Amino acid sequence: MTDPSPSPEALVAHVLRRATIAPESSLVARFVQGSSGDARKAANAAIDWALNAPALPIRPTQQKSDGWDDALFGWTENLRMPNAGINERMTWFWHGHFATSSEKVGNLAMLHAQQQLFRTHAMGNFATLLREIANDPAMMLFLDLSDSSVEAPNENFARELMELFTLGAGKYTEDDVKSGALALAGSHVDYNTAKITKDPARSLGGEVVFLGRRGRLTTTDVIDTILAQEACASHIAWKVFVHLAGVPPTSEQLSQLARTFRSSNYEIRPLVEAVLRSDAFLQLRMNRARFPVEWWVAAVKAIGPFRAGEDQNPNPWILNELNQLPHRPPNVAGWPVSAKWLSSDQQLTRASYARSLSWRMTPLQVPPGGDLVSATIARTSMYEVSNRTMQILRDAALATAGNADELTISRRLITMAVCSPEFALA
Amino acid sequence: MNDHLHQPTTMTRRQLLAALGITATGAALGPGLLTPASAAAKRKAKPTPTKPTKLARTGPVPLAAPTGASNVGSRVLVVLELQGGNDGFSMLVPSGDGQFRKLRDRAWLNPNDLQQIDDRYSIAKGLAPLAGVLGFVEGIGVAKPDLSHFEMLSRWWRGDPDNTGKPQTGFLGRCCDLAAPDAAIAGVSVGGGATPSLISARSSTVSLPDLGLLRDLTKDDDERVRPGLAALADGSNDVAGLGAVDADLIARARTGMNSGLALLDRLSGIDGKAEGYPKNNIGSSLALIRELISIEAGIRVFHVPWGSFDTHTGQQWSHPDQMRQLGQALVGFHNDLAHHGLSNRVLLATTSEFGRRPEANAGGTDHGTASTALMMGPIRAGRHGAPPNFGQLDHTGNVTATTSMADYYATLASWVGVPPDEAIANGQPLVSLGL
Repeated sequence: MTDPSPSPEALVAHVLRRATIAPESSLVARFVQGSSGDARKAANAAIDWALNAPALPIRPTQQKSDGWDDALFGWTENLRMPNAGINERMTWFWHGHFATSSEKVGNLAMLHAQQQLFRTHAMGNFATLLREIANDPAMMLFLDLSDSSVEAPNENFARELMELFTLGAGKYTEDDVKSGALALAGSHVDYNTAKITKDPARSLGGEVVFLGRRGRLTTTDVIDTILAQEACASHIAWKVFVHLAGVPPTSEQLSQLARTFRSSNYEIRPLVEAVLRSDAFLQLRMNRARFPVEWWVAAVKAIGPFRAGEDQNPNPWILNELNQLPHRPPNVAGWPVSAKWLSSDQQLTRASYARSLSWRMTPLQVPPGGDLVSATIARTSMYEVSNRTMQILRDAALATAGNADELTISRRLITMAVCSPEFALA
Repeated sequence: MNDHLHQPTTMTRRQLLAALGITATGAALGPGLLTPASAAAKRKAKPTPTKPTKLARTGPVPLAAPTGASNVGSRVLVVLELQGGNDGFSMLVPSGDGQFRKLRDRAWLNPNDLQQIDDRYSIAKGLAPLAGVLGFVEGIGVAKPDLSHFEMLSRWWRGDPDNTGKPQTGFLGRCCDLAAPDAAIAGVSVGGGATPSLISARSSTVSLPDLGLLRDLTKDDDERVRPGLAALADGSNDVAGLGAVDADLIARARTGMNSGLALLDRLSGIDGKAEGYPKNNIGSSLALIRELISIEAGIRVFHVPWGSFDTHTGQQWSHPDQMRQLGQALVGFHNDLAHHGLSNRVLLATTSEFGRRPEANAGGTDHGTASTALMMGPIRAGRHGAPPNFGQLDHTGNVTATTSMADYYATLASWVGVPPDEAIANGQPLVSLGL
């Protein structure tokens, strides 16, 4: 990996790919403009902006007969907002971390209440968020905490609580899963009112040993015991780093981040800030595949704004085909950081979608002293491009200049750019 | 892991596609690839081009007699991954085993959901029409089981029973490498995006998108776009000019587009006329697979993930329902293969990360270990392997495997002509299946 000093534009675009959902081209221009050519200064301005961007309010819920249009459209509109900053990014992160699917829960009001939890605590306190999640009706239904009984405890939540949400595989035993399930049993969630009731007859009566702690433990005790484990801060710090930086941290990076996280009593902001402000973060560019949601938001920004008279809000159902619909994770592990997002099913579906959406385009605006290719780069915020891709874009602009109108050429260039390998990476 | 249990307020895939103005079959395939609902209806109105010629009396639904030859170089393996950890004990039910019945009493199946096949076993009622053709392999598992979905999925995908070999490729990817290293497309995953099980070292494996959505790519009136996309996807290793970037990911992105476009070019051979399948996801996937076999593109391995088998709750209704959907889809696949002379070339086999625990919880079953797999094709029907001992459970309350993942995978590898020990260590094909 070589790293010839990146341009201010490249570094700002990188920050915005990670700290927001996708770069907003006007923001790239703004932070570059104030930097006097100093890439690091421009990147810092972008990081400051993202960290201070206010949280977006949840879109209102109106339960319709077919359920959950609003849940989907609302969230995707927030993801596309030009002022979506780190709160929106981390709200999305926590949804993937505490992945809960509408397909099983099937209750829009509950799912929205859960989304509100993620919005409220996205950059707040992890311990608080975890306690809320353990008492969240959508999660309790999703992982079968509702109606688990001490007579025949359901292990689903107890297992994933430790394996995925807090400690990681290998940091607990099967006996801990069993005793955790006993301690967590006895609750019921009313599907219509979301009211949680606790039935003492179905709850733990005696003592259990859970992660070394003996007692007649409650849900609160279980969560507190988990939060006291060394492994918890480390597990969450690892996952946040991978999400924001693209690759696993080194052991030194991890132990430092875990220390930061623990010493702040699980405050999320210092952890996120430590990742974003690390020297490593600015170097770790284009090293993970964009998630479908990131690609979609970036593509819509690049192809839009759309012609007058066209719907400015493109239908997000395509995210179902790209296997990343909000409130529909594939399983409780959420969406993996993976090269699978670069596979042929993604590439073909994205290409066809981009081509289709490009019908609504307006012609590219060529800046003074620029050309159609530089306008394409600016629209797509693609400031790190291989010679090969750049040549193909130049050829496309040249070969067609004589006999095609500007809109046709613009559509070709933007379609190709958003289908390029560079655009597929975060 | 979620159960994908359908609730009244959720949208099915079919409804989602309807919202997009697209039919659910996915097998919407004429030259334009996209079939609007009206065109699909028109096509359905046409008379059936082929009809079963011969019926075997094996069940209440007519099953066509198997047809066609089986040349080892053209054999096809279809692996159906039952997602979430399928309760094999509700598929092939040890109903005559007193110890099993006692452990299961809280979640014992409704007699209406069972079909007794002998004095010791029943099968899920939904599979009853296929009783005479299905094979069941009991007790498949690993020596050192883990109860994590993700750990066991990884082992099944990689073909690494006890997480010791840590191969970089998937088991099915290795089968493709060995069976069809030079094919334009050796392996295809259908219906769930790319799967780690098809990660290969040499051969070309492709994940199939929903073909109904590709209209704007296939019918683009601007002849410059497709060549532009192809050019971007060419030259896999060339990252000159890029700074901090993972060159391997750039190569993968190019390969994804490149192999996708190669597949797209071949799909015009699909007639879109597979019939006799139920209108559910697994039916659509199997219909599409039969059509992809028929275009003779050299594809040897298919992978289909399906279902929501993580039945911690609601097992008593969700498992029988999924067995019904599966049974209908398999009847369709069986007959469709026979109509096209493909019966003896195609082996379908299921996998699942683990089975369920014999003792039920209040509404379902928790994570288990060894389980039963289902097979369909030119096999000896009936039970294979050895039943697990429900009187001897391990410290997690689970059974001990009687058939190893390695032996099961060796059976599948040798079906497609791959020397078993090159695809999986320490596996011996199961001879009782008569493959």
